[in-house]
Formats: sequence, structure tokens, C-alpha cells
Amino acid sequence: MKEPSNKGLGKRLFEFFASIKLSVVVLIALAATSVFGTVIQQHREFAVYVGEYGETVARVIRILGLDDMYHSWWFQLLLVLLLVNITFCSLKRLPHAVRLMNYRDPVFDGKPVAIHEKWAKRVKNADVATLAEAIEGVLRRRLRRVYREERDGVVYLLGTRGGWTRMGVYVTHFSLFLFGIGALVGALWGFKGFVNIPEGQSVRQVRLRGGGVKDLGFEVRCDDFEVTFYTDRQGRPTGRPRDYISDLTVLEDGREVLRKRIEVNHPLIYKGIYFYQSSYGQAGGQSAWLTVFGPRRNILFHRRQLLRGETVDLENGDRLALRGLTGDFKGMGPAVEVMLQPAKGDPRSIVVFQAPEGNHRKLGGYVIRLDGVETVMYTGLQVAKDPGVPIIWTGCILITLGSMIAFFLSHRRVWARVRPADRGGVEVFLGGNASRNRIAFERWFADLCTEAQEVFEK
Amino acid sequence: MINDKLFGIAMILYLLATFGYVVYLVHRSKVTGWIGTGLALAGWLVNTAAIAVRWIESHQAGYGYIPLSNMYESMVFFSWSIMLIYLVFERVYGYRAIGAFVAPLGFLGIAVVSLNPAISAEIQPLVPALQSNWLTAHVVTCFFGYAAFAVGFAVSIMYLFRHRTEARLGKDAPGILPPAKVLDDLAYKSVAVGFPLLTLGILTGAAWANYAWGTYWSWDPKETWSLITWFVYAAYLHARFTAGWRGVRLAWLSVIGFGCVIFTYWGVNFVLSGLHSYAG
Repeated sequence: MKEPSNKGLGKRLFEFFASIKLSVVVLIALAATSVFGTVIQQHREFAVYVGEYGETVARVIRILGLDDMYHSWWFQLLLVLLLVNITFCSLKRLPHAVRLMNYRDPVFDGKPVAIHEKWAKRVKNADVATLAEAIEGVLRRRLRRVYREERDGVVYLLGTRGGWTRMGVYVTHFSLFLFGIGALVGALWGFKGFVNIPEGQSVRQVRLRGGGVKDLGFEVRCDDFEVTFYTDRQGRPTGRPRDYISDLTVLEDGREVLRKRIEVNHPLIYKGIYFYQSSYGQAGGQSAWLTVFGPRRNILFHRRQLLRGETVDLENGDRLALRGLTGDFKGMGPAVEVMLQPAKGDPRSIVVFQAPEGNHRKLGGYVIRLDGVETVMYTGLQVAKDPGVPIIWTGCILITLGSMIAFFLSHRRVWARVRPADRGGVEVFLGGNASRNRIAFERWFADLCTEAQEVFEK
Repeated sequence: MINDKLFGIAMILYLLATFGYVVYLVHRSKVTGWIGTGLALAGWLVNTAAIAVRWIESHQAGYGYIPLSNMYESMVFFSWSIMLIYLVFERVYGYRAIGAFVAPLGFLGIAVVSLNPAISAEIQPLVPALQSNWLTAHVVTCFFGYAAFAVGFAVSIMYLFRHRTEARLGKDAPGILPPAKVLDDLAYKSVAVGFPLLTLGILTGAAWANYAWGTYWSWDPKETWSLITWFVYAAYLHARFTAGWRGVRLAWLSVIGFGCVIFTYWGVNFVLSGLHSYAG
């Protein structure tokens, strides 16, 4: 008693999950519920919702997870339900589709074959074998594969083309799975964070969006940050930003391994981690850009950015320290005070102006040039790693190819029967069907019949 | 600037084409049909020229970008896409009557932004976020999809009118619109063209977002509404292919789908806010 009812339930469950009605209902439910998340603000404090909708509604919002709707259990359940539905639909339909794809029986009399287009013709003064061969030639030209069977003096032919296109819809549906898997992989093994790096400094950790910090395993230094502006026809800056640019250096154990200039739309990629230009600001304080020539007029460093108090190595153990800097020294423009600390002897300081007359200053055997003083900026970077992305891209390619195949290509089959007619001569019958796009097939079939007609006349 | 004057001419030609097609609906003479098509084609050519001129003018202004970056540019491109898809449909399927319902959409696209003082027609430099080759791929695929859905919408509206006539007077009822069965099929064809394009539009958007923002999907209102639209048309196609829906219910689904397109495009910009706040 128990067994048949169990089986009945199993079957009914299968029918439920495999029903196209469920697909349409779930799709419409997903569409309708998605609206909430675009109308109700997401990821806000409870108080924000109380302020906007009142205490009661705010509680409902929180209980239903409408403040983070797309990650709420019920929305995810709808997405899973869609995937389950697709699986069951595919299980139900795929065997039949494979049978149709591989169908190669030329004998159609008395078989459940849906023939949509028909054409028949009686040809006098002809024999079955010759006409069958002629038809076979036509089918071979127009379709890929031709199968032949002879039975009681009657020749049956089947020409078929594009059977594989029946798989397009399954490829499309499979790609939706890849989206699900890709998103899961990203959620499990990826991270999203952000970090602000002042010019001249480096970081090893980033703050995660969901809270907490993540150690990168290497350091990223910001060498320079710059905003460029559009200029008008006279070449004057307009104040409209053209681009945000950061010069970044990746350091492994203090060793430089990669330098990259990033800008909006062009990130730095290192070890699968992406660094995107996303914001900027003033880090506080100023920095000076210096160029230093050695005793033999050799360039020791060119346009190097130094912060107040920073010290750099010159030659033979000599060191140079930036003691002070200002954007405007008593109305004479930007200026710095640098101090030479020779390996032997007493330190000496001088002031270097950016203004042309004070542009080069000798200090010891060195020549020091001030290229500019500017406010120290920080660059704001989004940092992300998502190992699910390749899976998502595979899904993208498959859904594109799959839906193109499903919508615009079709499986075409044409059966032919050549047999002696009752009143003498030979009767030729052509019949065909297509899995999609019947109207185009109608025209194509008419064309094929015209060609067959021409062959008979010869 | 010459480009906005050209857009104005295209707009007027689309309006005249609408009248031409309406006269054709009533009169059914070959000549009026040709006049309608001729005006629509002329409008489309001027529209094309206007986009090209705007491109050149953006270079002259020193910015140099493909004009697909703001509400004005996207709307005139929307009109261009609608008329292109329609003219191809007219050529392939030979039903000119649809023009009476599609040409006004082409006209409206330009009219809404040209006559609205709140929308600037000025060529403005591209903000850094939009400086990417993905912009062109993303906008073109999206708007071709939108345009195919617009044609589907126009045909579905015609279907609903025609269906009422046929329900009262029978299948061979006299009337100025094509038979309901033909309209039903044409509406489906538009959606079948639009759907893969919208899919590509969403995918190129995701690819770009991943490259520029580090996330291929972030549920911002624009993304979500494009997905809502995608769900509605996916439901449409499944209802038709597999569940065997035809006729009125499907026509309404097509109308709702196009409502979603318009909300994705306009509603999100003006009602909601999000990452796409700069553009159409």
C-alpha cells in the first residue's frame, strides 16, 4: 500500500518542479520582488527605516530582510528554486531532445512524425531508382546528413541538418548554473575591501566591506596621486576632472616587484587581487619634489617626492634630510630647507626656492633643485579578489552562444518517399519540419521543392 | 553646434513619417506607403548624420568621445535604434502598417530630450568612469535590445486593438490593421531579437563593472531593473515556447516588459539613485 502512494508523491513532486508554470511563476515572482530592493534603501541602520517608514514597517523590513533583500533567505530561495526548476525541466526534456537530435529513421509512414510542410508530385516516364538518387543529391546539397532505406520497392530518405542546435536551450540553462556556482565561489573564497594610501606610504592590509581586515601578503605603495583636468580651447584647465591617476608599486619583502600607473577603468592586478582607483583626498601635510645631482653632474634622483623629516641616501654615505617646506615663503613662492649630513664633518642646511633664481643650489658637492611643493594626497583604492569570475565569464559566453543558437538556428528535417504510382510513373513525396522559425522554413522548403522540380525536368 | 539642428530635422521627419503611415493605414495605397517609408528612411539617415556630426563636434571641442554618454545622446540613439530595427523588420516581413505605431516612438525619443529644457544638449567632457571601450559595447547592445522591445510593444498594442475587432466581428473582420495572428507573431519576433541583445547588454555591463569597480554585479537599481526586465521577457518567451501562450495575455506581458524597459532607462535615473546616476 505504501509503495505506490510514495511513488505517486515522487512523481507528483517531479511534475511540480519540472512544470513550465513554475518557471513562469518564479520568473515573475523574482521580477516583482526585486522591485522592493530598488525602492527600499539597502544596508542602512534600523533607525533610518524607522525614520522613513515608522516603527512597525521598519520591523517588518528587518524581519523580512528587506534591508539586504538580495541576500535574504527567501530571495536566495527563489533563485535556488529557479535552478531546481531548470534542472527538473532539463531532466524531463533532454532525453527526448537527444532522441530528436539523433533521429535517423527515413521511414515515416505510420510513425509519430510531425510533418509541417508537404509536397507531392507524379513523374511520368521515370524509374524509382533514378529519381531517388536525384532527390538524394538535392537533400545532400541542402542538408548535412542523408539516410536511406528501401522497403518493398519504395525508397525512403531523410535529410537532416542542425540537430545539435536542439542543445542550445540546454546550454543556455546550464549557463545559469555557472552563474550560481560562480557567485558561490566568489562569496566563499573572494573578498572585497578598500584602503587609503597616502603618497609615499605603503600598506599591507585592507579593510573589508563586511568589517575586519585582510592581510594581502605583500605591500602596496602609492608613489604619486594626481587629478588631471579637461582644458578648454585655449588650453586652460576647466575644472572638470579628466582622470584620477595613481602610481602604485608592489613590494614583496621590501623588494619592488611591480610598478603600475592605475586610473579609473584601468586597475592594477597582482596575484589575482585587483586594485581599483575609486576615491582620493588630502592626507594632510605637504611634500616636496626634489632633483639632486651628484659631484660629477650625475643625476642621483629625479623628481623624487619627500615628506617633511624624510632622509635619503646620497653618495659615499652622505645623507640628505628635508627639514622644512612651505608652499609660499614670504611671498617668494614654494621653498624647502634641506640639510646635508656628510659621512664626515658637520651637517649643513640651506633653503632652496622653486622660483627661477633660486632654482639650483649647491650644497657640498651636490646640486639641489626644487621641482615643486604640493599637498600630500591619499589615493582611495577598492581592493577585490573574486576567484568565481572565470566561472561567471564562462557562463556569459555560454548564455550568449546558447540563446543565439536557441533563437536563430533550427533543426531541419526533410523526409522523402519515392514509389511507383498506381497510374504508372513514379510518385515523389517530400515532407519536412523545423524545430524553430517555421515561416523561414516554409520559404526554404518551397525553395527545395523548386530545385527538386528542376531536377525532375532534366 | 550643427548636430542638434540635424536631430531636430530627424525629429520632424519622423513626425511626418508617422502621418504618412497613418494615411497609409486608412488609404492602403502603394504611394502613401512609400511616402511613409521614404520619410522614415530619410529621418533615419539624418539621425545617423546627426550622431556622426556630434561625434566630430566632440573632437573639435577637444573631448573626443562616441556620443553615447548622457540622457540626450542615449535618447537620440534610442530613436535611431528603434527606426533601424523597424526598417529592417519592414524590409524582411513587409508589414508597413506597423510604422504608424513605431514611427511616433522614434519621434518621441528625440522630442522628449530636445524640447525638455532640463536636459542639456551640450557636448560635455566624459567623466573618468565612462572613459572605456566597454561603454560603446554596453550602450549599443542595451539600446538595440530596448529598440527591439519598443517595436514589440508597438506591435502588441496593435494586436490588442485588432484582437478586439476580431473578437466582435470574426477573423476576417474588415479593419485597417494586419490580422491578429500576424501581429502576434511579429511581436514575438521582436522580443526574440531583443532578448539576446538585452542579455548581451547586461553581460557587457557586468564585464565592465568587474573591470572598473571590481564587482560584476552589485544589485544597484539600474542593474536590478535590467534584470527585472530580463525576467519578464524570459517569462514571455517561456510562456510562448513551452507553455503555449498566445494572444492577449502575451501581448500584455510584452507591454509590461516595455514598461520595465522604460523604467530601467528613465525611472531609475529620475526616481531612484545609484551607480548609474550619470547616464542613461
